[in-house]
Amino acid sequence: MKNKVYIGYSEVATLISIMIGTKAFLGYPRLVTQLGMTAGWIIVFFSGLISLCLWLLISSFLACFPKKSLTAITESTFGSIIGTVLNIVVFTFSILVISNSLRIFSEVVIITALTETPVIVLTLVFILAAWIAAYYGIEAISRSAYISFPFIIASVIAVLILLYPYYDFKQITPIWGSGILSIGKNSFLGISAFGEVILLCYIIHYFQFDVKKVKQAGAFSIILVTIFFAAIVIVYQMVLPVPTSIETLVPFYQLSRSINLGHYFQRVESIFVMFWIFTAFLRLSMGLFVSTIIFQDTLKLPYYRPLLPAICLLVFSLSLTPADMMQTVMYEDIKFNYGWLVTFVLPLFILVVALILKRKEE
Amino acid sequence: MKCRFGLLVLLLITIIFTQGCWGSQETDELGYVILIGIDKGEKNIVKVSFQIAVPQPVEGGEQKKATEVVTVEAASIFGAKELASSFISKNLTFVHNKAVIVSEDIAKEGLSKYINPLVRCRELRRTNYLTVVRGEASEFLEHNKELIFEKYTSRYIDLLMNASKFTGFVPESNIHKFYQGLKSPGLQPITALMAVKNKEDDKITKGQDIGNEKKAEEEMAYLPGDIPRKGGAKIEIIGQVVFRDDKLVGFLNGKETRYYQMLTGDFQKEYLLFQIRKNLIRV
Amino acid sequence: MGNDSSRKKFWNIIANIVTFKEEKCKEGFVLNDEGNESSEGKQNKNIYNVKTKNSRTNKVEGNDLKKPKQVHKTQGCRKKEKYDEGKSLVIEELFVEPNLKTNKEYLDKIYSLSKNKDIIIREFYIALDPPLQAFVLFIDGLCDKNIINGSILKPLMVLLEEVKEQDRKKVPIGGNIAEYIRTHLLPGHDVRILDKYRDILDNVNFGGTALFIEGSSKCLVVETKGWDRRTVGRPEAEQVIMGPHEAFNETLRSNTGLIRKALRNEKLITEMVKAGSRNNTDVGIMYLEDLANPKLVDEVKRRITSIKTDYVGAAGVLEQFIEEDPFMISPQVLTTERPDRVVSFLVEGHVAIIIDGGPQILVVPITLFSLLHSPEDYYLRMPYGNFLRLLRIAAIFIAMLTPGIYVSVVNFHQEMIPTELLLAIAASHVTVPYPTIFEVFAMEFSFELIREAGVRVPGVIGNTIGIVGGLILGQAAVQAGIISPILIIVIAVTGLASFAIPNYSLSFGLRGIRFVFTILAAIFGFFGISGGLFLLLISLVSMKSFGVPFLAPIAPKTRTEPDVVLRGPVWSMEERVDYLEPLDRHRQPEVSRGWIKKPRGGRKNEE
Repeated sequence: MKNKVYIGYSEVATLISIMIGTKAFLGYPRLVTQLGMTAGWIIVFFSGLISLCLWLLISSFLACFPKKSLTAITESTFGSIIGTVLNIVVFTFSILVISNSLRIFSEVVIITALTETPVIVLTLVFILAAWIAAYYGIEAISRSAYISFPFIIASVIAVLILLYPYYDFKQITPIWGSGILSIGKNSFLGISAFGEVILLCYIIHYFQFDVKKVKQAGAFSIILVTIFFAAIVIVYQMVLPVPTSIETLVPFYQLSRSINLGHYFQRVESIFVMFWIFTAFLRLSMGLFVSTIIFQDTLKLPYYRPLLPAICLLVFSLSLTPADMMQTVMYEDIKFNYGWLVTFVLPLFILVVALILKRKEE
Repeated sequence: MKCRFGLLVLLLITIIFTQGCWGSQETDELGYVILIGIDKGEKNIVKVSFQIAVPQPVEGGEQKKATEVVTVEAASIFGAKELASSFISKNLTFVHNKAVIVSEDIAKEGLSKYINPLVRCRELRRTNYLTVVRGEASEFLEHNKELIFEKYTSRYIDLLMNASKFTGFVPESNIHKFYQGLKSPGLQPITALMAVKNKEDDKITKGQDIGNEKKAEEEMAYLPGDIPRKGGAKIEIIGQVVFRDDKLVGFLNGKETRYYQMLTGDFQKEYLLFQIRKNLIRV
Repeated sequence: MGNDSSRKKFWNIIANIVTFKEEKCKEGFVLNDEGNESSEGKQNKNIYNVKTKNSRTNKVEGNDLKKPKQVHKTQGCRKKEKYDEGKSLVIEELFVEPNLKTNKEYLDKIYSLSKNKDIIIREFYIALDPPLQAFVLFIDGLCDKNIINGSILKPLMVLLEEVKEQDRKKVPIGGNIAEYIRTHLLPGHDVRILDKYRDILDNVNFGGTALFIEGSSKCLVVETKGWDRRTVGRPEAEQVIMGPHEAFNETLRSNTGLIRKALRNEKLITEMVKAGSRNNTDVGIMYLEDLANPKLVDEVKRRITSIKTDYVGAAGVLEQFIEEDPFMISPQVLTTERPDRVVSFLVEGHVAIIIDGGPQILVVPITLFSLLHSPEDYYLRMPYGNFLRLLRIAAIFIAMLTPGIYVSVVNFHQEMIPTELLLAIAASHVTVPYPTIFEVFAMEFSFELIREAGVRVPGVIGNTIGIVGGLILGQAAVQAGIISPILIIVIAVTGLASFAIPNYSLSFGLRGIRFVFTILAAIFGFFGISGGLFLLLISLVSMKSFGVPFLAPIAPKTRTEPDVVLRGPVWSMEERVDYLEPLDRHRQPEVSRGWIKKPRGGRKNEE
């Protein structure tokens, strides 16, 4: 059953792009602006570059273990006890991330569309939809991602272009913003934003194509998302110049609110809200699916579907744990600062050890 | 599987129908505020006037009053909004608000304590116009009710601000710009200036005769309310207000506004009158 | 005790709901599985598979038969069996007897001739020397009487008199008299010699005429089909302005004829299978042997022959028996009544299923995009065709989402509407005593009522529907103040858009799903619509039609010609679709317009 499902290159590339890119609809542009001031887009650019290098490294290591997911590699390298513990760590991290983003998406929906709906209802709707999607499997999710990708991209580009009356390139000067040193440091920390690319390693046994293409898919999505992130941050800083741009909670929403092309075309943000709610659904279901798959592979279970209710409940209750939105945003910031330890360093470490062991055996 | 799916749907439906539809409001339950006027209060901190649109069928019929103005005194704008619901049958909302009109007195006192909550309000958007009016804002709103060329006040405001954009008498003046000026280290906020034409048309002040040369030089050097004219709507918009931080420090008249725009680079396309000495013209 | 057991039952139900059970693999057929297999291998496999399948079906039939040898033993025994196990079982292994009387008795019992008045047995003597007693059996109304009179009775009874004496002498008496009659005496165009009653009855039931001859254990069956049929008419549901105007009718043979007429190719195969045990409806499976994937053809045959039911009457019923996801909103089989449409699918490598008795023909497998295409797209020039397609895609979204978007905008996102329009909507709603969602549902419901009534109403009073419907929708509801006039526009646009969708089943699905979207919108506004779209997309992409993913050329992405959402110029479509795994991918060469390149022989011609 497991081996029956295969997904193609384009689906994977777009899916990972969407996974990484949904951050643009949350607090990411604000966070970068906060760190780099007017040089926020440089941070985006550099952290994209660094994560691209890291990804190329990881994926070329991964190529030595054909058709083996990172979970399996961990287990075969570190033995069943340490390997399982490491996998459980990764699983816990993924659950925490998914539950936090579930909460944050629900809060963003409250801010942007449904001001009077209780957060628990939105969380419930999100998790139920994600459950159904994860039940149908990665095939369905990735294909939906591929189909909706052009629409999502079009909506982002539309927002960016419709803001042209506000373009003012003076606002992104001084170029180096908060200073080169701080930019360098934050660029490195910022690679957490691209951490979702590592998901490719965990679902590698679903791919119809060879490992080289996996590398390509990850690189494609990192490059594409970097470009989009940079464009969004630049436009954001031009429309809402630096001191005010740190204040908004959902920058992209604020951007689409600012669209005002005369008497007839204004107040259209609700249309764009629809698109990024859609990406939220995609992201959450994919996150849920990958978490479940990691757990399944860790415990070597034959099916993942029976795990879904339990994991859904776990994610749901974890997402309601933070007291309010500010706490959720704080967790998001923590994830931004330390997430790269799990998303990039840990896989790299595992792969290096695995490679050394493999060489020794030979 | 089918059964399980059915259970899910059932669960969802139960949750939904036991809790109702959150935030769902019919169009006629809401009172759409078109303009907000802020004055200094007499019995409380602030006197807020709302110009509320009266729903009007498209196909005409008997012409009803397009808008209604109510004035409430309260400690804050939002307090006034809540208070207004005690004598208005509709739930007031700012989602369709077009402009915030601030009186001269309030502006002199400092605007940030009124603007900051408005900027953070979800209903109101930053693209709303923000202007200062000479005199009372509530009076301005009352006079704004009379429409000549338009049917809707909302469109009237939009068109008025748009039309002035091409003459250069009025700077681009919205909450977004103002807030930006307030926050940015290198900018000071400005707004457009408005007034109600109160003087009788017959008594256009002749002023001292300063000669045509001087008159040509002083073309457009009017503040709102002073334009010599006859007919048209009661309100006038020309010139701009200069702030230091959030406090009004002075007015620029129409001519000065143009020069200001030339300096900032926003100057577009206008008619300018030059006097050329005859004897200097060569071909 | 009863309480206890019922409680146990309840807990079992709960446990069934909560616990996981391995999903039964329902289809077990994925077309794309073995893509790298060579076509030759497939061909061989195909032949093999067909054989096994046939043998299997035979075996199945064999299992149903009961004790064939006993039939021949004694009359009494047979009778006993007849009462024991029913009539049809006996027929299966009944053979033609040399004794004419016995045959007649058999038929009397089989057809209940005393009650059944349109079964006709005409007894006569064949004018041989000596005259042979014989009778013909046919069903009145199914046969062409002119053929029976002119090609069976007349030559056997009258014309034989004119045969020369010496020729008549040569007639071999006994022995192979049936063969002699077939080769020498019967001028019918399709005469078969049969001895099994099952085969004979199948033919007679379908308009054949059976000739029983004294002393022969064979029976001659002459093809005399000739019932009253509709002539080839205009398509009712799929009309076009440019393009052919002929449609299928209710006769299988004339339908296959229409297809063959349009696709003159010796590789066009028409296989016949039976569906339904009581009626044995003929189902034709048509495909191009050198194009269609043999595995696909086998799968189609497997599905149709595996149907165990008494009666499959029409294409719509067969469709429901062979489709994969009966609960999804979209059909997974294309139903068409246009021969040109079927041919355009056949040359792609699809398989057409023609069921006798209905003017609709099924095409499998299909994708969502082929449901959205209309034959007119191809007959018009490329820009016009694309314009139609864009219009239709817009129509889909309008038909599906407009009421939902209206409800959510009016109830949740009032800021989206221009202020003046919002004021107009509010003003029109002031007089309405119900919430918007009620208005929308009432109007949608009455619209559907008018649509349904328009289909069912007898033609004579058809005009009244338009008048009544127009009055209710347009005038009275608004003037009575229970519906706001702007809603009328919304409903009308939605209705129009739903009729612009070329596929009848799909437009049904979309009309249904629009109610779901309206409810979602009433609860969650745009959030609900977005979630609904997400789940809809998820369910659509996980659907399959005969092993082909439903959104195939796009998700999963496969190589395809430029003919998915929009279409390229006809000369640019060089390859057939990939998801069907056709045996021959090339449709036309790289340069298909020969005149573009100057032909080399051109100069010669000039000289």
